[in-house]
Amino acid sequence: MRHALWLLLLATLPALAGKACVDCHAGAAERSWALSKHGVIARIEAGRERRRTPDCAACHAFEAKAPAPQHYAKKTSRTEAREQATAGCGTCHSPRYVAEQLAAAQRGLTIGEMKRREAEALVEVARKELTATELAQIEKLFATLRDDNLRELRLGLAHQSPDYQWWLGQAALDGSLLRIKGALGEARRSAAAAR
Amino acid sequence: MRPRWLLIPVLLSIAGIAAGMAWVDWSKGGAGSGLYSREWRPDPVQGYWDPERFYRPAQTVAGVYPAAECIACHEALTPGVVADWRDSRHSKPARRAPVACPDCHGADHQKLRMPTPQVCGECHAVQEQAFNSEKHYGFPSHVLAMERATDSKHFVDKPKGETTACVQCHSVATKCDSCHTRHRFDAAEARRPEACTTCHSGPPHPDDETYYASAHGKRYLADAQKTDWSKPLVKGNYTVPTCAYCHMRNGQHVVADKSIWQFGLRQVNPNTAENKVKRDRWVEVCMDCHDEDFSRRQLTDMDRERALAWQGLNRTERLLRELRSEKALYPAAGERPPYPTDWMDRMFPKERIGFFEGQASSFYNVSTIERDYFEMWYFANLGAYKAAAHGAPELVKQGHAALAQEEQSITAQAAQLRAKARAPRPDPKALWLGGEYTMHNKEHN
Repeated sequence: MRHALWLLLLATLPALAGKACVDCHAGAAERSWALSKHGVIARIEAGRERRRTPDCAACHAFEAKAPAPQHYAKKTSRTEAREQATAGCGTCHSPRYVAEQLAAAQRGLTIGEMKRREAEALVEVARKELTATELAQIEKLFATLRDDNLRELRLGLAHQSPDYQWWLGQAALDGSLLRIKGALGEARRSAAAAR
Repeated sequence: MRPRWLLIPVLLSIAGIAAGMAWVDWSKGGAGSGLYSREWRPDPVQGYWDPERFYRPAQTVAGVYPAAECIACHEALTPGVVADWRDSRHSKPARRAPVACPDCHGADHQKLRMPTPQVCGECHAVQEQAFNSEKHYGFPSHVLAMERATDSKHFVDKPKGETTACVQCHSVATKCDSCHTRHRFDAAEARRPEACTTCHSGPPHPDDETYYASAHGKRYLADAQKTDWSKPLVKGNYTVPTCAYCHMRNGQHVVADKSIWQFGLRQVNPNTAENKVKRDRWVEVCMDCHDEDFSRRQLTDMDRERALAWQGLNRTERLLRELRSEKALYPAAGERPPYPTDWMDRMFPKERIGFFEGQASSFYNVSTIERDYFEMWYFANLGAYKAAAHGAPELVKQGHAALAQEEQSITAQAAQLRAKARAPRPDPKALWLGGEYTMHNKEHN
């Protein structure tokens, strides 16, 4: 019954998903999905009778009675949202495959959060040591790391986009982290030179 | 008569070369792929990306099943998969029995396998042979994508939960469904440029952006829905070239046979005898629609674009090498985490500057100026290269503007580093060798 509802939902999704969502969620949210295999197939096969892959509503409103995409992540706990979002994966993938993908995503995100915390600790140190001008540069780098790099990693992991996971995610986090270290190190050198 | 002692260095050299080759062979003989195959311990999900080496059957169900029984169960369990298979040519081939579940996965549920290129090659031998023939052209190529990626130091060094992101794309070497998604395995799908863009996108290889910005790409976007993609990729069947049309001539599963500029990663002489052969192959492709002069001119323009890009890259690389010699880099190689598995790096730390020193791994745990050069080489340079190769002149301009801007910024930083070189130098180790992620990276590789 669950699978029948899933297929029914997939068949009726065009009205719910795609354009309507992208009107507000353009940019990284849309592109990270569009570049995933799910997004590629959905784009290539737009207009076909049977939809093979999930789009926005298929995961974010996985409840056949939902009249329109619901923002589950905001309305429910993160665990519940994830359960609802992944319930449909089993239509095509084995439980082990789904579990491995989710575990891999969790590991990737955990590492991303470690980078954020390492950077945050450095910013705390910088707030105590540096002048306002020096600090502003570091605060800006940290904002990029937290608000752009980490967000893009999360989107890449959730939407299965390798590019967002890696170059715009982990490798970008590495870049922001080393630049924070670099800026703090240079400020310390300048301070030592001034003494 | 020559003195006998001259033989000693000759014999030692021969022994050294033989020992080196034996060491490389031994290094590649482990469970993983590439030079670090004995050390590389990937995440469990790698079983799906490199099934031959890492897939282990779940062993949840016992029994040997014919296709009809697989389908009966999976129609309820994974209906999407069965529906895809029913839509595929595998379910209804013209002159033979259907290719069904046991043909690719095996019939014994305790010993199920994930299909590798070798499994697909049991029927698609021509495609598999062509795919394997890419080894002849070296890397970059699809067939060596996994092996050469895992040769990079950051693959073996970084936590595997991180590099899992990379192997999804590099698995193009180890399974066929990167391009022909399961379970429809449709050639028509792989002929469309979108099929390539999951991996061929993003800062180092914006193939999608540059192609769609070109006249070819614009025509594709206009014509895609009215084109019959079931036709073979041969002259006359298509009004517009796509990735596969140009890079996989006549549908051959070879993308590296025309690789003149080596992905833009290193400077090459584009007019060697080998590259002249490759150049003729390109011209032959272009001449499906354009005349020969026009086609050759595009390639010459490409040579000029590359030469210009490398002028700036070489200047900047020289500057970084000078800073290294002057010990002006801060932190220097010994003051930041080494690659833990590399004893040479631990004993003789050295900044990796330039393609041949392993610059591809120099994007983390390096000084800001080195990362900036990495981005100049890997992002701005490859962006310009892809734009030139795909015929997107506006993006070529943008790419070269980015290259110039980054060179200028790196030159300014270099001046500051030199100015500070004689000033007091606080030990940067505390800043660079500690921290939550840095320690995790050190302990989990």
